[in-house]
Amino acid sequence: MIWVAWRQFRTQALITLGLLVAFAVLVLVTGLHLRDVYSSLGGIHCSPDEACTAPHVPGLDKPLTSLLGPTLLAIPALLGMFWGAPLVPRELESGTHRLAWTQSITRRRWLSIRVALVGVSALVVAGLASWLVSWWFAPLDAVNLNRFDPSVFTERGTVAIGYAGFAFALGVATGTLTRRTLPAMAATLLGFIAARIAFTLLVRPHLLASRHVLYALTRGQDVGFVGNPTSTTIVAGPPMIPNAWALSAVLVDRAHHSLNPAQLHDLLARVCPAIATGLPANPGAGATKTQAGSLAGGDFLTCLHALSRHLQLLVAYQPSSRYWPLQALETAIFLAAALALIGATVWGAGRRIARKPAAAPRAAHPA
Amino acid sequence: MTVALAARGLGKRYGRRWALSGCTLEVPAGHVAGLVGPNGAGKTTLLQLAVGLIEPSAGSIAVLGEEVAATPAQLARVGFVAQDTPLYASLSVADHLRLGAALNPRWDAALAQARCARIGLDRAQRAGTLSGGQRAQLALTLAIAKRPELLVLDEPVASLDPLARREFLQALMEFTAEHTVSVLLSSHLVADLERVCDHLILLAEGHVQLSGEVDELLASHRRLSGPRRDSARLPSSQQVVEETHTDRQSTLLIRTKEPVIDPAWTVEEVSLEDIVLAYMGRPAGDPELVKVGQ
Repeated sequence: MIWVAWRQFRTQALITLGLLVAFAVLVLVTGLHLRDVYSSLGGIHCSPDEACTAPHVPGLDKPLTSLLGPTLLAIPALLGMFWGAPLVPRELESGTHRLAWTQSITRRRWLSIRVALVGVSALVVAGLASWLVSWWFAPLDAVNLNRFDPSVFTERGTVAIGYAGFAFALGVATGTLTRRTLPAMAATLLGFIAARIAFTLLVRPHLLASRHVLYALTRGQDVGFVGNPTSTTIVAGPPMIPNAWALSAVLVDRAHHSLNPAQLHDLLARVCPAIATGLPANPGAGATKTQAGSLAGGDFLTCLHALSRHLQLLVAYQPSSRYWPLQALETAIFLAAALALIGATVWGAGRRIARKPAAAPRAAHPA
Repeated sequence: MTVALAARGLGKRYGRRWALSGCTLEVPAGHVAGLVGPNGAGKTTLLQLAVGLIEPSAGSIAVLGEEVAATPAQLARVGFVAQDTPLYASLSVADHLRLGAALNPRWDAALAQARCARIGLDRAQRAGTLSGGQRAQLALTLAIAKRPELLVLDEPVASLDPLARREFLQALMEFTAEHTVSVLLSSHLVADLERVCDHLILLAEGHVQLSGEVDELLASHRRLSGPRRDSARLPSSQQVVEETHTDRQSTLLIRTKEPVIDPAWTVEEVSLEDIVLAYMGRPAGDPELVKVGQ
């Protein structure tokens, strides 16, 4: 059966291998050039606190920096659509399932072996592509220090392997359910995108318990004041922490208690009355946000410094050391979901696959 | 005698439509059984149930005394040539033989080679470029090199020209003559079956209309024609299958075990096709008339 599975997969496998080799050549040639440019300009220098500097190379971020990442994102979806989704429907649509499933092999075994061969190949393809892209970006990542940025996190490391496994399994499952190639391809694409978005927004931030650290208010990003007709309050975003993932920032007082909007308004009225009353209170104009620059700069900074004696930022974050645990965990979760999908599909295969009789095109019967 | 196929109350429903219902049937082993019926009668459904490609909605079916397609061993005992003889278009003839060898423990490589040589199949040719007759021959080769105990063929000759049709049936007959094998073969053309079958099952509108050995069917049916007469006044040993009346004349197709001695009738023998057409027109599944030869 392994030979049969390979024979049916051979053409697709060779095409993909060709594309992968072309991709590897492109990445290696441009990646080596990138490294040459960096070293000829003096290389990357990192200080102990992880702040790195590198020579600025104009034009370096075009066009491959904006191409390689999306390519890597697309690979799992393509594997799911072109390897996973047609695996069963193509047999049904050409009628060859009536040949394959009447040999001396059970349908479950037939499906298991085909899925194992193509599925493991999908993991290898995604793994190699991800390794190439991660290697290419390594010098840039060392400077940018934003490895947790969603577009960076998902385009490096091992997660692409998990995505590929999941997309492939989703393709096989939808193909077996719909028994038609095109609807299965569409369902695979939509389901995969939905799963990725849901995971990024809802699951990844909660995978590991975050650490907490206190920052001075002035370190926050987008610190400002928001006024509406009834009250004025303070807003602040989490600070930039190199290579760490700041999840949230809460304004706390010296005793580390968080403050509600009313308390913030009172504090503001006490510490900088000019700002608390100075915001335009346009009835019906909604919230107005004030930041440095829009108010007299001096007033803003004076007020900020006065406030920072009373307020701190309690930041929840994932430190840089959590990068690989998070990568491994996300990969494992997607692979586990893939195994569950495959298991359910293979288990149900004996029963469900061929509900309809052969829908093969009927030749015109001579009378 | 062992039973090649036994169905009890077998039914298959697609949505609200029953493609096959209340099918109770025994096909004895060691025969070439023909399954005949008009298009849409449920022949393909019955055969796909017999090889386990689909599951029954009602009743049960056993093939060679075992549950269908439950184990590789049971699958190995049944060979199947599906309608329109599906093959992998991009695989060569040799690839198909290798596929058969890889997937079937009792694969008879010598038989497969010999048949390919006799048919004149180019081993390197891709199946997608074969003619209809060659495709059917390759599909038959795959099914018989598996060395099954039961060979199931679903309208294998329906799309073939008369010459290819004869060659195919010839090859099938050679195989059944040389090896101990039961065959279940469907067709909507009685003429195809008449040459090769010794047992006949008639399926119409999802029901078994008639089932019996061809010789007994031919021996027990007669056409009577004579002056107009009410069919209710016939002897009780004569069952009317089909009757047509004009003002003066009656023509009856009857089933009887005894010779017809009434001098008013002209008695003729009937062909298998006449019998099949007569039963096809009857209301579904008249239980008294279904079985012949008991």
